[in-house]
Amino acid sequence: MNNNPCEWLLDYFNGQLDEVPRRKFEKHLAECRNCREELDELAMLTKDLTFTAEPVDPPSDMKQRILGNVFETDKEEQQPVLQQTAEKRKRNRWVKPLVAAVLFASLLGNAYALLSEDETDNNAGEKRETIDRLQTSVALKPGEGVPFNGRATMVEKNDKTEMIIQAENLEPPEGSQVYQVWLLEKGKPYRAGTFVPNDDGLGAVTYRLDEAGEHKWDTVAITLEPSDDSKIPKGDIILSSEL
Amino acid sequence: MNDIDVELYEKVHLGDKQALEKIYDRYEKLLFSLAYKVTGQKELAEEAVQEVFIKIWTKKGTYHASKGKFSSWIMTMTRNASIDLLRKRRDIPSDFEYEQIPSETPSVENLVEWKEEGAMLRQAVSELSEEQQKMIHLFYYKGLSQQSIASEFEIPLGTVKGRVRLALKHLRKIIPQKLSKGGELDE
Repeated sequence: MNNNPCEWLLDYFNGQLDEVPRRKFEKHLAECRNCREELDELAMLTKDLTFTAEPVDPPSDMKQRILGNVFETDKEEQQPVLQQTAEKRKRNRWVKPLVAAVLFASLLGNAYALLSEDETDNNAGEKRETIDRLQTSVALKPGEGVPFNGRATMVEKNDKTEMIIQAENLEPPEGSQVYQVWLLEKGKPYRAGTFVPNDDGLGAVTYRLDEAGEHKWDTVAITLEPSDDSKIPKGDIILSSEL
Repeated sequence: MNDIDVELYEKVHLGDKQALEKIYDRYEKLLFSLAYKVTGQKELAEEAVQEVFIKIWTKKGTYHASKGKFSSWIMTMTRNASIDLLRKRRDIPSDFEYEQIPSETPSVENLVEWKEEGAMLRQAVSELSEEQQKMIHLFYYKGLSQQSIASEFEIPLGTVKGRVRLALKHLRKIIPQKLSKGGELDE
């Protein structure tokens, strides 16, 4: 590959760059006015081309399939990133913490990939000058007698802040119980993501902080709630941290 | 009008399933046709359309007025999803077979933009030289890398960008001025 990032413009536009050169190009784009102008020009020159496709009839049952699958993702979104479905493995108490540690590390990567996705494929025709920045990352303190661990990480993206929560060693919820993340402003709780852990007690959730409007959050906390629709926390705080 | 899309989109953002279904109904054929043009396979085209709606529903793809018209945004997203799927399947030998673009007006439901402007655009594209048509086809619809385009045309890598821009600019000159403002979906 040519070393001059200015030569990567077409491949960037077409989403043909791998992760590393793509990030490098985005960094370059922030500094190179010429490339920004050329990218804008490409977007402008091609903007009507999407409408030149000859009409093709979609399969008659496509709507049902697609909308079914789309609404199905609702449930999946609430689940942790990692899913262990197949066989219920015999829990080996000695091995489990190690496995959990490895999975926990990979979970970070997954959550990051999830957050980055928006940038990677949607806007190839637009300027992409943003660089994700870690704002804060705090360990969540377990409540009394609670063996769980967790971490809240804030990532700045497109001038918005996204929060990634991960927790491990979680007890499996019973019945309709769920883990609920809350953001607190002067003691007032706001819902900030719901999840259930997988078989290994790992759970994760991402949340865009601007969804609840302008706030000065001072605390993040996780509770175990009887159901997924608690407006205020009903269960005890199992993990929390000041922000 | 675009406002209706934005209104529906905002409802979708609040979790309104019916609003998503309405957007789906408005765009199904348009998105599927584009995805089919890019991927050349109905199964892949369906997958691409599904990815677009999953992104909208799960808010991984967020629309904002600063991104231009909703219709352009959703179409660009469809193109990108289609190219991405195509790239993931590159191990299957891809077929660069190039078809002459028909210029007759298709009859298409309520999507006035597509019906009228699409026909004019196709007409404009068909007026380009065959080589420039192919350039646009491979670059824009197939999303080929610069290297693949260079190999396909047997031209130096460094000249690809210039050739692509030339073809696109030539097309712009042909397209009647009223199209360049971009149309909007009618109700």
